[in-house]
Amino acid sequence: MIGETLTLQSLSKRFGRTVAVEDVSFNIAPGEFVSVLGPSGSGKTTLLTMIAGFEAPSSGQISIGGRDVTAAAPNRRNIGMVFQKYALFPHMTVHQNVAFPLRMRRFDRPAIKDRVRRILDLVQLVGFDDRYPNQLSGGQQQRVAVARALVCEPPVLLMDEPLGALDKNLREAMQLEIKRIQSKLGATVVYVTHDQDEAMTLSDRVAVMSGGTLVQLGSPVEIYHRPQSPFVAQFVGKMNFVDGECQRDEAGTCHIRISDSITVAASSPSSDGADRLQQGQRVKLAVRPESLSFAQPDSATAIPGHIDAEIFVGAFRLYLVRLATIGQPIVQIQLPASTSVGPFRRGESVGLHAAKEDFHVFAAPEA
Amino acid sequence: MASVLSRPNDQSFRRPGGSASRYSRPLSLALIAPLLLLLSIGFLYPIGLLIKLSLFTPELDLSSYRKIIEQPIYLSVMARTFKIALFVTIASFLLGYPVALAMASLKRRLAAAAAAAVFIALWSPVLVRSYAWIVLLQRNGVANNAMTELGMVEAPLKLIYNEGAVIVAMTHVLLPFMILPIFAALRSIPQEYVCAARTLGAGASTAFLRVTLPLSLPGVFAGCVMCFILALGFYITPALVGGPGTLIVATLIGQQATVLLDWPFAAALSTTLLIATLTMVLVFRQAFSISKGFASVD
Repeated sequence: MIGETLTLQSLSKRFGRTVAVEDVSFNIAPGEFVSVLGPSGSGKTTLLTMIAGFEAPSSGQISIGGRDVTAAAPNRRNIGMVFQKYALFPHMTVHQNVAFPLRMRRFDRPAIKDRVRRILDLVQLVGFDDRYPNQLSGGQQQRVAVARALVCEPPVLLMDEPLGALDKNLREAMQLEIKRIQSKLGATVVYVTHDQDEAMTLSDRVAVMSGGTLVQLGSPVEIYHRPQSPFVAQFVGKMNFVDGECQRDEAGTCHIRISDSITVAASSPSSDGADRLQQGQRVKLAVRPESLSFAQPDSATAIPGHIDAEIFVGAFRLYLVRLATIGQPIVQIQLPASTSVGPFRRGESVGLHAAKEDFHVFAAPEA
Repeated sequence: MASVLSRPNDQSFRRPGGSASRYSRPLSLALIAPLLLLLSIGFLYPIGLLIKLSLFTPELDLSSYRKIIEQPIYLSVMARTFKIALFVTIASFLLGYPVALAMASLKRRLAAAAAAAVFIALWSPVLVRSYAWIVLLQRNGVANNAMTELGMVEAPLKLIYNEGAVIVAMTHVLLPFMILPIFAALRSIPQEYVCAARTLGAGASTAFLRVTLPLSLPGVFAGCVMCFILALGFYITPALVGGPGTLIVATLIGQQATVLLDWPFAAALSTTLLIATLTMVLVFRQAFSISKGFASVD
C-alpha cells in the first residue's frame, strides 16, 4: 500500500471576479479511487491544478498524509499526474520518459533500470524502451504516461481526463487497465472526468461538481440511486422530471399531486428534502426510465399518458410517453428488450407505475 | 485485449511530406513557378556569371583564388569575418533567448507589446540604427560624455571604429532574427510539458534545462543560422562603425568591385564567401541533428 490520505479543506479559487472553485472540502482515504465528475466549466480541472500545485488556492488548505502542502511547489508534493494529452516529453524515449522522475530523485543507475523495467512490465510495454512517443499509438502513450506517473510510487495520483483522446473500445479496455494497476499499487487516485460512465466504472466514490461547488460526494450507488439535487439526478444517468405540488395528509406524510386527479406517494430515502417540504410547495418529481413500468390506464395508482414513440435500442426498449399531467411532459420508460408489452399504437392510452421508493422529490427552484 | 492495445494508431505516425501531398504535383509546380523563375533570373544566373567571372578571364585563370590564399591579408579578413559573425551570433543568442522566453511566458497583451518592440527594431532601417551607434559611441558621444561626467574615466575612450563596436552594433541589428524563431519555438511548446516535469520532481530550473531548452533547439538552430549568415555578409554597419582594423569580406568585396574595379577578384572573394557559408550551414545542421527526432512538437 503506497496511498496516503488527501484532505481538502474549504478550498476556493477566484480568477479576478469569477469564482472557479468555491469552498470544496473532502477527505480521501489511502488507496481510495475518487472521480471528480462535472460538466466543462464546473471547476474540476481547476481543483486538480490546485492539488498538483500549478495554481495556488485563493483560500483553503490541501494536505497529503497529514502534511500541509498548500504552499509547496509541485515538485515537493510527491504527486503523480497523468495529463489529458499525456504530456510525454517528445525528445525522450519511453525509457527516458519513465526514468525522468527517478533521475530527478537521484536514484542510482541500476535502481533506475530495475524500476523502469518493473513498471513497464506492469503496463505491458516491455520492449518499447527505445521508442519515441510519436512512434506509439494513443493507448501505448497513455500507458507510458501512467507508468511515468507511478514509477516513483507517489502516494497520490492525479488523472485529468486521461482517456479523453482514445476511441470508445480502447477507452473501455484502458479503464479496466487503470483500475487493475491502481488496485495493485494501492495509490490514492483523484480522477477528473466529464464521462459519468467512466466515473461510475472506476470509482470508490464520485464527487459531482457544478458551478465550482461540490454538489454531492458518495459511492456510485448513492449518486445514482439517491441524488441530492436535480442537477446530480439529471447529470448521472437518465432521469424523468415531472412538476408537482406537495400535499400533506393527516399523518403529515407528503404526497405529490401532479395533476388535478393524480397524486403520487413518494418515500424515496434520498429525497431528504421531502420531510421539509411545506404544504402546497411546488416540487419536481424525478424517476429513472428503468424504474417505470406500464400499468392499466384506469388503475388507481397509475399515471395516465399516451404513447408518443417506441424505440428499440438493442439491450432495451425505450418508450416515450406524454403524460396527462401539469405541463404534459414527455417521459422515457426503459424496459428489457425481451419485454412482452406492446407493440403500441401511437397515441394509445397507457398508465405508468413506479414503486414509491423510486420517486425522488426535489423542491422546485424559486421561479 | 492485448491485440487491441498494441494496435498502432495510424494518426500518430507521420506521413512523409504530409503537407505537400495535399496538392497535386502540377499544381504544386505551378504555385512555386513564379518564385522559381524570379530566383533563376535574379539570383542563380548572376551567381553563375559571378563564378564564371572569377574563373575565366577569358581563359581558365585561377590567379584570383591564388591571390586569396597566398596573400595573408585576405585570409585574415576572411578569418576576422567569421570571428565577428560567430561573436555576433553568440551575443545575439545570449541576449535574445531570455527575451524570447519572457515573450513566450507573458500574458497575451504584454506578449503582443513585446513582439511589437522587437518588430519595430526589425523594421527601422539598418542605416539609422548604425548611425545611432555612432552617436552613442563616438568621442563626444553619449557614452563618453556620461562616463567622463561621472568621473569614471579621465579622457574619452575610443569606443568606436573597432571590432567591439562592430560586434555590438551588428548584434543590435540582428537580434530580432534570433528572437523571433526562438520565440516561435517556445510558443509551440505546450505548458503541460513543464507542468509534467514539475510534478515528476523537477524544480523550475531543471524543468527548463531538461524540457523547455531542448524542445526550443529547432528555433535556436534557425535563429543562429540566420544570424550567422546575415552577419557573414553584413556591409553597412561594419562600414560605418568599423575602422581600418576591422575590414571584413563584404567591405573588401565592395572595395574591389567599386573602387579598384578588380571584378574577377571581387567575384572570387564572393564565391569563396558563398562556399564557406554553405559549408558552415551544413556543419551547423549536422551539429544540431539531435533536433530532427522531435522537429514536430504538437
